[in-house]
Amino acid sequence: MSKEFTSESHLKAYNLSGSRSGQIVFSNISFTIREGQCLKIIGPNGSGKSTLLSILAGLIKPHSGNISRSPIETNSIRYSGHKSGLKDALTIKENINFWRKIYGCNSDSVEEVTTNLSLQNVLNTYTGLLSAGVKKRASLAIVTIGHAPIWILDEPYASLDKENIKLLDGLINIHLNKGGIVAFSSHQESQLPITTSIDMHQYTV
Amino acid sequence: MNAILTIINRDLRISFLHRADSLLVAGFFVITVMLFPFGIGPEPGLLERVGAGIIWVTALLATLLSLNHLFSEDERDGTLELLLTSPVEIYSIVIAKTLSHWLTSGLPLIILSPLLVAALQMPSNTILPMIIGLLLGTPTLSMIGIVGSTLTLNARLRGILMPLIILPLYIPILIFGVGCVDVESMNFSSDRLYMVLLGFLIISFTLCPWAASTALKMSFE
Amino acid sequence: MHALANPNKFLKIAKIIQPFAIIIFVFSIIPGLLFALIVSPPDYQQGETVRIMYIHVPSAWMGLFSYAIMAICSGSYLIWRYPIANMIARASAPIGAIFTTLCLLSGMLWGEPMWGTPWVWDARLTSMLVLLFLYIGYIAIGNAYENPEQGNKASAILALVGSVNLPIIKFSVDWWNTLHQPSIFSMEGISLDSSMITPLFLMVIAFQSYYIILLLINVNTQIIDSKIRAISLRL
Repeated sequence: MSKEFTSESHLKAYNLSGSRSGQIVFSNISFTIREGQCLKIIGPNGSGKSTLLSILAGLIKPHSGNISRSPIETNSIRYSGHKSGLKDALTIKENINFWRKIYGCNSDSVEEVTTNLSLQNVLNTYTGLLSAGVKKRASLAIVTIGHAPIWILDEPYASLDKENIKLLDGLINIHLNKGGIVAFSSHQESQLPITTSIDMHQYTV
Repeated sequence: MNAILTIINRDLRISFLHRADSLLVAGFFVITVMLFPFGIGPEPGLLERVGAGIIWVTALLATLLSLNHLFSEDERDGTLELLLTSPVEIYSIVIAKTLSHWLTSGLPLIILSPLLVAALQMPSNTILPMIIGLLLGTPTLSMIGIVGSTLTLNARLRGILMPLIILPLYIPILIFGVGCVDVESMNFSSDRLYMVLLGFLIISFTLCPWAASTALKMSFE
Repeated sequence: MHALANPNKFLKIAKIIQPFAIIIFVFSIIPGLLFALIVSPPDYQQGETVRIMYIHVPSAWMGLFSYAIMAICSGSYLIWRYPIANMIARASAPIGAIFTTLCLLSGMLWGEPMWGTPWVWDARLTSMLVLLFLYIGYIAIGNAYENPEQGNKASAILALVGSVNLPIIKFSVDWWNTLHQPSIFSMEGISLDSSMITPLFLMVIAFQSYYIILLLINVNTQIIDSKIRAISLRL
């Protein structure tokens, strides 16, 4: 499963400003991250971390400025936001299968994807019955489907205990070593090799 | 194409798991129609005369009911925003949602309509035009409904706003849907009216997915 | 047309147009009302009540005209994102809604003496009623969002969808009307004598210029509003 990402990847932002509900929350953010590099976004609540990550993921348009991303295909990005992206009415297996089909991924099986995040035991449990921590791990499992080079993670450590944080860090490190890119936000200290750090406080309007 | 089927599949599975919800809409349809004989009296001539209108108006209201949770569920649990960052085109998402909405609300209405035609003591030659009219009309109702649903995704008072916007747009389909049945009972051919309903279907198929995709995109900005 | 997109240019042009519009309004409403209410002959069938037509027809025209402006500006807004296009559309909506209401009310006042009933499901009155609902929907959705940008775009899309539907609704209501054969309720029973055309024409010009006056005031206010907001955000 140790495939290298074949093309070079990068994620660049130039003079980015973002708005939420009509108000500009940050401006003038610029950075470049290349393959194997990791971007961490820190800042108080409401400073626009989620807005910035949504812009990087292509979910919303920036107020001004632009981003450049390589590879360009929409299948090269995986996003994990505050909400789970899982249907409570379905089992974990059904949820993961749905996203496998959406991402057009036939290679990884559900078992492969879920074992990485210790979800083997809950595959056939209805998602609505599971705890926040388990649901978070399932959301992160979706990110690993199909080996996309760019991972955008909004508070990936939320609801995770120390063991699972280590598990996640392990997966992220493997991803970075293969030439992938990770941009994430967190309040906590991280053991990951951070290349660039953005403190939203500096860019608040 | 695959993605469309995947989404429809998932929605149908969830509808099946939440069978009660779909039955609720069908139940609303039947019960509301049944109220009318109590309200206006059981004289056969009277019911027969207004029956088509009763069934169609109730069908509109039942469709409106089922539109309420169409995108709001997906928005709430984050599947919508995840779909929007995925390689699936917004257009496909809208088409998939429209189809799964029609399969869970329009189709049951069509299947139940003969029952209601009999309950309102309408002549039996009206069953076929009722079914064909609903068959041609309910997909348009779903498509216009999707536009209303996506336009009001983050709006205040969505429950009141959505009907206010959608119902005026439903009026042409209502008029011709009822017309199909009424002209049959007057022994005229409803062929031309079917063509009109088909025309509405084609027009809304051209415009509504575009409008709904634009509305979806803008609700995340 | 694209030159108008700059709000300051628009304000300059508006300042020039406004006095002309006022003059045209004064010089059309006074003779218009004079002709309409006093000079022009009563209809041989309906007597004096035909004079309501001089309010009813121009307001119907303005109701439709305002919606057309709303739809065109909404389209421009969605394509080119000019804020001024959206402002014109939003300004047109309440004006158009009021003209439509005026049309309905005058229709009702006309109906009472003419048909013996204030409301009748005539094809045109019914279409006007639906038009009123389209206006109400547009105004409602524009104000239903916390984020004003979203409100603008949502209402713009609705205006376009509504404009496509308008001819379809008219067509449907016409057909529905013929199916149910209320032949006595036709509004076509007025023979337009040439002496009636002049006051009608004057009233249309009067209403049109009044629309422009109100529109310019409203858009002016919106532009100043947005300037105030921009300044207060920087403080």
